[in-house]
Amino acid sequence: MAMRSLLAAGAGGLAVLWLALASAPLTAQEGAPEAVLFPGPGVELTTQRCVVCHEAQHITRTRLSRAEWVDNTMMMIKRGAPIAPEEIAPIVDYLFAFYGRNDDGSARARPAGAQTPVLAGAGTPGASRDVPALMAAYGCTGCHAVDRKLVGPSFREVAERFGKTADGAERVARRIREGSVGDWGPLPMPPQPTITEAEAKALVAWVFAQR
Amino acid sequence: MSEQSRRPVEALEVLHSHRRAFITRIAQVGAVVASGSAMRPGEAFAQAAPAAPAGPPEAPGSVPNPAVLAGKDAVVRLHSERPLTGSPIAEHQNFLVTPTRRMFIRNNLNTPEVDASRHVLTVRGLVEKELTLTLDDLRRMTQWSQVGMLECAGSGRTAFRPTPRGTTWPETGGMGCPKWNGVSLAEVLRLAGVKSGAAHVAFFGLDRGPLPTVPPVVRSIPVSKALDRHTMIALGMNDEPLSPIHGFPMRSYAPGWVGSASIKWLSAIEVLPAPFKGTYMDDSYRIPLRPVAPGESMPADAAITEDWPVKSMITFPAQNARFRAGQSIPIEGRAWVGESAIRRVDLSFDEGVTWQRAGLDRRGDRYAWRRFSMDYVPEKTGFQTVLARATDDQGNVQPFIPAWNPLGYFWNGVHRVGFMVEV
Repeated sequence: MAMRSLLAAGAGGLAVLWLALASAPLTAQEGAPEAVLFPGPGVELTTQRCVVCHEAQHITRTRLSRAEWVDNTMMMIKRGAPIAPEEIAPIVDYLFAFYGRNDDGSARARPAGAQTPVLAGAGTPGASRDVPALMAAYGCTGCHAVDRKLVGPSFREVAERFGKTADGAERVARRIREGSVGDWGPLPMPPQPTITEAEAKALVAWVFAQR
Repeated sequence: MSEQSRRPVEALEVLHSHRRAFITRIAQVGAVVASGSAMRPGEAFAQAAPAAPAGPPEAPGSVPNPAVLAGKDAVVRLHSERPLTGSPIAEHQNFLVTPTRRMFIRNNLNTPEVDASRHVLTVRGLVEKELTLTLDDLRRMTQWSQVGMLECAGSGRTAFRPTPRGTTWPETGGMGCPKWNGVSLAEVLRLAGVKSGAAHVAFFGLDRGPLPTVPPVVRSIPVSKALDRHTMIALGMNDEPLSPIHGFPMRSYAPGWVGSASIKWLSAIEVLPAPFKGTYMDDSYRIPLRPVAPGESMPADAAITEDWPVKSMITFPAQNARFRAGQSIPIEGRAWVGESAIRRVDLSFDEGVTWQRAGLDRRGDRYAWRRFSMDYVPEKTGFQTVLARATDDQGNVQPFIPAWNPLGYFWNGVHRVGFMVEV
């Protein structure tokens, strides 16, 4: 699972609860919702389809009835969410299971054994906040894992191909911000222009360290 | 969160490079014409065919979020980053005119960085003559300004129970009342000549989403509102050119109406025989015509949201403020309503059992909020509350809890602030 891989990759560093990131700039405030989705059936698909455009907090701060999650998913499809018809049911099932609301307005209990999501890593130099927080905020881990291909190449593959060339870091940083297609196949990576150059640089440094 | 922690070194670097670019742009654009001038008949429009800008406009780049937030005070709390939304609560809104640094942020998509020297505004559709206007063309028209409300339809959403989906606006976040500088939309539409059969006027924004499948932001308003003399194409806010987050170089402003009726980064205006069909008209910004049960889906016959109902908030004291016994507390707040006028504001110090009429400042600009106030000397010590309730000139009174609706629009419940009076 993408997030477990990220977690494992960062296990050498400090594993911190997302709450510890609350003091980092640009993150949500104290008592804020989780920065990554609860692990569980459908989390990868939901992350890929939703977190590509929105930070996970749009989901983790929310409790909705099943009908409302259906309504919201259908509206997001009209807003351009890349969700195929057969993906609607598994996404709604996941959202209602982990972010559901009972008819009396209370939060629906999560499935037994649900693990609170954690983010690994702390103190990344050069970034306005930690790389794991950046990756969660910008949805990188929706499509990339450290050691295997998901929608896009693994971080390790990226590090192997670009980590050794002189202009590799600059090139990958530019692709993060401007988007890319063709290097790894026909699936485009969407541009993430709200990532600053400094943040992109920090992300690349972290990715290249996974070699 | 301290101001410092919100501004890492990287963000400041971005800010500085961004500021240089912005200053350059201001130099290119020239100062916005001094505000406060009365509306006067427009001078004859100089060129029938305005000079074409140098080359076709390029797809705009995007402004990073830290650069936007560097232009905001730390009390503008973030609600989301993608898209970028944020607002200050009532106690940080104690201004007659909202400073730009306190004006709320609500994007649907990314913040575009528009090259003003290449930007053109197209006026098309049911018009006698299609127009292509540059920023300079608009600057040659009659400039005027007004202080006026802008409020997101979902402002106050998190006060609804259960809380509907959408931007998590706090009970008193998602609105502001800055000064708008610009030209009358009606003057532009008169130049184009609105044909008979026109019903709605649509506004197209230049902002784009993270994926190519994301549709652009388009919203239409009735011709009657578009031709109202208060509806503007704004070029500035608070006597400065619009900042990128507020729509540089130009935006529409439909005063008194929900924020989505005012389109930032305006690139086209289209006169239509019917309301525009699109997701920002047909899926969101809709409100049921009849009350629905909490949790129900949007009825098929719901209406598009337009003008805001009567509303008020207490801007002093702050929630949980402390005072000394015998001390007079200068309570104040703001009251506003979309298309009518505020008649009175009442305060209650006993949870709504009895009400006392607050002082109400004289009415300023048509769509500006109005200050209300009362000097209150508590008779007892301990924790107590003040409630504010506005009434408009149609007799509409703020409810304690407004009708729940599927997308959480039009929260206008009575605002309640608690404070402590110590011995």
